Amino acid sequence: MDITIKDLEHLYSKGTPFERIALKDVDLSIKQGTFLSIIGHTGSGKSTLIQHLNGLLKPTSGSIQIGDFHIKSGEKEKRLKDLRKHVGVVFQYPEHQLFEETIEKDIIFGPMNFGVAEDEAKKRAAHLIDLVGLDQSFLQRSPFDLSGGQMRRVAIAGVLAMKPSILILDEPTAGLDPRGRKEIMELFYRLHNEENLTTILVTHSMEDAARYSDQIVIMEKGTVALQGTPVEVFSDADALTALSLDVPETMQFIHRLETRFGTSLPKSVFTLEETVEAAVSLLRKEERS
Amino acid sequence: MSDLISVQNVSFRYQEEQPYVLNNVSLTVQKGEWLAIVGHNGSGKSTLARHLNGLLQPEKGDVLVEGYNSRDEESIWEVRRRVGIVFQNPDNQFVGTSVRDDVAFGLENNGVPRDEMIERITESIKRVKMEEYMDQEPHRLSGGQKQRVAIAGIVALRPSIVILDEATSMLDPAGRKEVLETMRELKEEEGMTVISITHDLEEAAKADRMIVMNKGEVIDEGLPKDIFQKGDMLEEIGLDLPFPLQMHRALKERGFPLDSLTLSQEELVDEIWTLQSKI
Repeated sequence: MDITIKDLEHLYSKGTPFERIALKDVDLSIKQGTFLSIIGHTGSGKSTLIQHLNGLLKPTSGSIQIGDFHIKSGEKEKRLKDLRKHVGVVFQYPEHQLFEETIEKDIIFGPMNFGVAEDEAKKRAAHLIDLVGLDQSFLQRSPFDLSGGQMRRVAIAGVLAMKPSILILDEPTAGLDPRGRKEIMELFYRLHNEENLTTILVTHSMEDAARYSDQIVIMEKGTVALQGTPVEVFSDADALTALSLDVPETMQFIHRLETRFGTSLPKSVFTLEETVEAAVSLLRKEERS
Repeated sequence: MSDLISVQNVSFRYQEEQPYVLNNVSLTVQKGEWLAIVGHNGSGKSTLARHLNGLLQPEKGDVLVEGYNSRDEESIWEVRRRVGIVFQNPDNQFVGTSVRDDVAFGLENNGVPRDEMIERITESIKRVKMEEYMDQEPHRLSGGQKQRVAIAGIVALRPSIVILDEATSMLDPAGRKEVLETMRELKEEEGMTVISITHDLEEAAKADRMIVMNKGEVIDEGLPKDIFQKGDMLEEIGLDLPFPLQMHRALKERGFPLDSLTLSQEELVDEIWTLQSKI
């Protein structure tokens, strides 16, 4: 399902003295299968934007098309429930939304709500609990006896159990330690590729955005300030500085090497290994000459 | 320097028959230092923090704060008055309906007279640069601003030690910077002792001293530059080395003889430059 957003505007508390523009002039086109990262400061409109993608918020004006679903201001999309079957959202701190007696019940709640038979939902839970890095023994335990990181994994399994084709992740790794962050991001990336998902990641991590995305959108004051591939977006260091955002460390380092050695290096360097290769190539070149 | 806090052979578990969350932990905190305690989620860092101001009491061993034992009912309030904690979630520790009320809360609880209270509120809110927001409601503040108000609430009580318990881990990069800068100023200008509990090694790199925790035990202690020599150990326990250190290590593994460890990209680039001119 492709996503097309046209002239999207959203006002909070419209028509009251507290009226505030949360989004304006947002135009985006997201093709099926894209991994898109949305970056921006707190209050830039990131979360407001993603809440439009499963109909939690409706545009004040403008429109959103997701596959053959249309969300427009003033019009009712009667198939919102259907839409939500396709668009899974992992909200910030999803562990706060756990509520069932057992982990299994919590995971199957979503799919059963959408009409999946209990047997099938349980099968999915058994599969997903492994996938998120816990084991079968967890299914019958209470979700409230787990550590914060484990609870987060259960909550993520609950969203994945609905088999969404569009997965929206709102800072899914906030508050986790480095190993937890990496494991969760690798899990989403693997799912993205294996299930041909459209993934929309809201993040503050330039490194994650650079490493996993096909496309990056930078939000500022409720509108799209910059968009493009990671190479395009992160090459524009001046624009990023103006938005007080950082360039990923790998690219900063490459840039410093280029300046020091007066040479040019590949631009699409997003991992430590690639950066090491670039540095080694400089050192080896000198060895040969 | 004298021991401000002394933790002596402390063991603790939340329930009997469960494994110990802290296992024979001993450490000291010196007056005026910035001490970073690092470890992954579940390593016992936060449980330790809660022992340092008497929110939790050890099953075995003792915690002494300026000589006051946290086990002792007579002295527990002396302990709490000296040690303030800023917790992880900015939304869970705002109690007032405005910035001013929030800072007043702790003072009222401590029976500070009204005139002095007003003075201390203004002073501590200025200290964290939130004076423009005096009458703002909490939900209109950013995460970083909320954490700074939490710091003001603690500072108003004039403690000797502030503990940041992963206080920046839920903030965006700008908020994180705000909070750390505020704390650094308090340390420099007021001689505040800071204990920062974190899994951000870049933040820990700027500390005076570091303690590494794993599975409820203190496994290492020393200057950041010495601890960072042990990259393998830090990675093994699930922490992330700062980028320049990772690069340094990877290049060494490829057989390039870089010498001094550095935490800055510029210095590493300089070193690579020097190395290639020698080749």
